Amino acid sequence: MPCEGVNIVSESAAVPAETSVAHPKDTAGLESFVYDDKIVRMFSWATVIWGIVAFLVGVIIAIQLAFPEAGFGIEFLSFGRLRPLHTNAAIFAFAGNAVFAAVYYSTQRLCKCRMYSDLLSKLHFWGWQLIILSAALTLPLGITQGKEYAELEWPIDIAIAVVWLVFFGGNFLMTLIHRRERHIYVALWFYIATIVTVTMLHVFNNLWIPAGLVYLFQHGEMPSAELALKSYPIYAGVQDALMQWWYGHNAVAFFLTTPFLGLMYYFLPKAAERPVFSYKLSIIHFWSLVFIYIWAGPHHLHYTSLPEWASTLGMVFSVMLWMPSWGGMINGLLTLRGAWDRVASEPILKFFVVGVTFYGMSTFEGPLLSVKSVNSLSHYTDWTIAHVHSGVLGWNGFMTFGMLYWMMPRLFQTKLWSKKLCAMHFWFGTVGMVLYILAIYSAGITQGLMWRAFDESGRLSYPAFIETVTVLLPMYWIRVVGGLLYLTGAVIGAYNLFRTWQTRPEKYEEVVHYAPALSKGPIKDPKGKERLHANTALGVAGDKVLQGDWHRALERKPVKFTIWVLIAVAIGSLVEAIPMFMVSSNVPTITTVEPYTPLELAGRDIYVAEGCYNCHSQMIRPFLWETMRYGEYSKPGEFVYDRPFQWGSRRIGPDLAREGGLRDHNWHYRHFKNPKDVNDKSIMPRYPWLLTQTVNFDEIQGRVDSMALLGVPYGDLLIENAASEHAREQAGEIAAELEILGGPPMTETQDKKVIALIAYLQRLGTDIKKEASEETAMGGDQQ
Amino acid sequence: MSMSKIMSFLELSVYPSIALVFFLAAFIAVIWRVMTTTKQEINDAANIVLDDDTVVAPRGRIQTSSSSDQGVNHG
Repeated sequence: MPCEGVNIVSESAAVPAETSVAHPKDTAGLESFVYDDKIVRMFSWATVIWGIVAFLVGVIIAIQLAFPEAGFGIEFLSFGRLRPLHTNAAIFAFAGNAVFAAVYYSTQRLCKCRMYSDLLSKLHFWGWQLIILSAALTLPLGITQGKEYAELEWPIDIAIAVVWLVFFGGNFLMTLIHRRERHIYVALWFYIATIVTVTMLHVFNNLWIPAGLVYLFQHGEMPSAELALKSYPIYAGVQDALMQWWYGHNAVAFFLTTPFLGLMYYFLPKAAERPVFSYKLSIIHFWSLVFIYIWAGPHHLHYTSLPEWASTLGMVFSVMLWMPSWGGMINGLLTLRGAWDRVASEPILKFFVVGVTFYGMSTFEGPLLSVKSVNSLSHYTDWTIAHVHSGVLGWNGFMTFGMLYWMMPRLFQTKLWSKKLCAMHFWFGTVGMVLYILAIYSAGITQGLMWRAFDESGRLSYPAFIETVTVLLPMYWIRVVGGLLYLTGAVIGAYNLFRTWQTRPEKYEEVVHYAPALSKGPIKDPKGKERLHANTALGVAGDKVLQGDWHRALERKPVKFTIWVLIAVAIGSLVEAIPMFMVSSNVPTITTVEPYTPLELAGRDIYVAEGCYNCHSQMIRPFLWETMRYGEYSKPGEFVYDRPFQWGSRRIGPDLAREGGLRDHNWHYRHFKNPKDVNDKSIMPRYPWLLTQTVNFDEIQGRVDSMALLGVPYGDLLIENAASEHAREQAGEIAAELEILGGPPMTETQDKKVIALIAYLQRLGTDIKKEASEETAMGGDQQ
Repeated sequence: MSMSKIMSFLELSVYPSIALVFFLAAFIAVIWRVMTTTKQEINDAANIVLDDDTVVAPRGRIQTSSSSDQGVNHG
């Protein structure tokens, strides 16, 4: 099936595929086609709109951190629920739509071919927007998997897989197959790597069991919509952590880096009107990046319960990653050689220059943060947040804006409405970014140093965690100002593009392009020379290998190329995952660690739904300053029933790994009602809805049954409704204890969500405190 | 004997070492391919991005989108 929109002018004249034809009298034997720019316009507008939404939500949650009352005690506006909305909107809505706009625009032109299927293009666009809308609805409702950047629940996961792989990937690959340009330009390689790897990451990090379906199959009914959308990952604890950060890190790599490098290799030469500085370097850049990036994920888990070998592996490859990353950055910047004078006067080039520069800074900082000694300071602090925002605001944001300003006037077949507004956008964005990042760097390093500070007597200088938070508030306000400036710049940009759109022609001219079809049959490079005068087939074949024909052929075979990319990324993944899953010594068993009770499990699910992991970690690292503050360091065997793991990545509040038994029920009850009642400096939001909303005890059986299906030994609790009854009993006991401690009457609280959450918190970290004689390491030696 | 036990007997460091060899081999092969490519071929590939909008317009005039004037309407 040919590409849609193809019209063969004549089949008589044979014109070499590489020949550019630029006059109608030469069109005999050529195929005519029209690019589908409508789909690019749609994705471009979606980028602009979702970008503003993502930045706006970011500003709102930034204000909430500095001024917690900005959540108004409304559950849909709480930080824990809005923060995933912000990250998902920034990554998948803003950056995602930008990537699609770039891919649809550049692929058609690099392939001299309309997209393979207009229908698939439209399904992709509307399917993706529907996914974003689903995220915007479910995340504030607390429907989440509780895994960073993979929060969306299982029905949306399935939709993502279909839209990404079938509609987008299928359409893209078929377009490559039906292209009319022999050589596949390097930007397309990066797109291939993006599609292949994101598919792999998404599928393997989202293997779960839907709890609602389990209940439906076992009982023939669905107790609630909440349970219908609930899932539990097949991985637990340490293994889940490895999978999650393999995914999380490579989402940055293959969703926010490789497609934007493809964008850079296409749009930067276009804007600079000169070819990329070194095409050779781009080839080395591509393969090195693709092979190395996939290994680096474990550096997010330094000094955690992840085995040290995996952590070290992640660090070494992260440091190696510096070289190809900077190769790409230098290649981008040097593409502007001879055009630097234009940078001063062209805001579009300014966006690209700053974007590529931020890529360089982020990819220098990334390896730096992966070094264990540096990571011990930076981890769980705002330093990581600053690093991420320098990448997303600087690299992704500015490359996107540069692309939109270059591309959208062409798509609208008009000229940019205002160059001054474009420049204004650039300066608002730049100043906003710098303010944001410098303030948050300072906040991160300040807090990290305060956590580890000891006084002369060997005690913690700042034993109260809150002391290390309130000191950050001025920096949090500067962040708000920086975010507002960046948002203002984006609004100015949207206005400018809207006015540009208004000057479009009444009807878009559909420019007809001509190119010869790609010849079939064996590929022979007309420029190739056989230096070896061998008279044997083997000799000739060997000479071709030495001349690089194997790679040259790959550059023309999209399917083979895709397979080799898959092999490259699979090697790094398997080498880390197989030993982690197959070698039992990685997670020594602790016999005193038992499954959560049904009520604790329900409480844990509330913890996940409220997004508590966005502010609290559950991982005590083996440092003196951590064990003195929180208690004994965390062991891998403690997390074998944690689905999903909740180690977190940022401590806006203290670690909760040993929270169980530290405070009484009434303290927790008052804390959820209003944190300032127990600590007037607290910046934790209020959770009044937990005190009024009831637990659906009937559906707890479905949660326990699902866990049992994953191998959790629940024994008699699997008998019909035994788990639900057990949960009711335990809730009654806790409510009664709460009343004795001065809390409300148990009749008011025994069926409320807060009781389940208290049950979970009181259990945290208590299993290893049980009788030492019961504690026996099983299944292998300690790491 | 289970697969898990077999894997547990093996020295863990062997897996990344093998993979590192794969990477080095692939890296050397790519370097070789790049260094043996002619300047003409590389230039042709690099210039694809600048040639991709050369078109034949309906009225027969040559249009090159990439070189079209990127001016400003207002402001």
